[in-house]
Amino acid sequence: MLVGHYDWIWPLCEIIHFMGLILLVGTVGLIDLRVLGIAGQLPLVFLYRLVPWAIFGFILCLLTGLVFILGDPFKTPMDTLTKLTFQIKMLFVTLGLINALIFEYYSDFRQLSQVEGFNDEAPKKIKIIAGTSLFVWLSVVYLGRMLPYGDSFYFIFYW
Amino acid sequence: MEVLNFLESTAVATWVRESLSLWAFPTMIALHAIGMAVLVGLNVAICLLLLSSKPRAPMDSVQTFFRFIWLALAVNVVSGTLLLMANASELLVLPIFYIKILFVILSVIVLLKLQRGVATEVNYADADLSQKRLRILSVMCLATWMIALVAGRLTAYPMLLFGH
Repeated sequence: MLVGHYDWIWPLCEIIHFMGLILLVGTVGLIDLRVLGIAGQLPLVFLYRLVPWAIFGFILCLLTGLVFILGDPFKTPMDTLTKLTFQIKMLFVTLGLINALIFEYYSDFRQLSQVEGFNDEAPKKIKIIAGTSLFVWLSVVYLGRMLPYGDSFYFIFYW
Repeated sequence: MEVLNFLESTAVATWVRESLSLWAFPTMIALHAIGMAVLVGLNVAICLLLLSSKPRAPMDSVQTFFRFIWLALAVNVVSGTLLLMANASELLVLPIFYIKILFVILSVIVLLKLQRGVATEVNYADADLSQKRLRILSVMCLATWMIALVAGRLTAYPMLLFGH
């Protein structure tokens, strides 16, 4: 594959993967913190403008992530897909996406807080969604960085 | 070189590098990645917000987010120092590593100016000038972080840059 022939493709994809995660975690994190009550004077309607950047960041990570799975010159795609750390990471990515969809479509909070001047102090269940989002996406970063170290991340419970 | 070897031989550096505990090298590097995501991520999001703020957002309230940015910076200075000590003789001979550190420092300087700018924005008589200044700082911040990020990742690929 191309990745094996040009030794700069892998690091380039890593750099783009990092930029994607920065866009995703940064913009989503800012909205989550605001929903949790940080910078309460800042209307959420301004922060929603950042959502396309989060989606763009996610797409960057998805595309470069596919390169890592399909194009690794030292591993077959099955090697990666059968790795426990990778599977748990994907589980967390899925949780993050479902959580974001719940915030977007299944709670009327997002629609209500689109209106400027709306008192957008979030109810408790929306704060739970925001807290979950923060935890899930930071866990995805953690699990992703642990991928090169095998399936031993759960040793964290042993000290 | 002797200084670098000394740094690597200290107990804490040896532990980070050689301990099989997941709390050593993997946790340091994971903390460094999480810290980066929070530090650069929130910073980039605030810059994008400042660059897209029409109609104007009440930006002075953004400064509350900075405490998370500084906390993440502290996490990365500590984890980064430990990672550096563990591999001093490999990292401190790489020009690209110094480029990374230079641009991290530049980013933090711009970030400080940005925080100051956001905090005092409401006091400016000339709102347009203040907005323009914040936008310029935002673009600078995005650029310096991007260079720091690229340089940081390339420290793992010295062969790619120097060919041997």
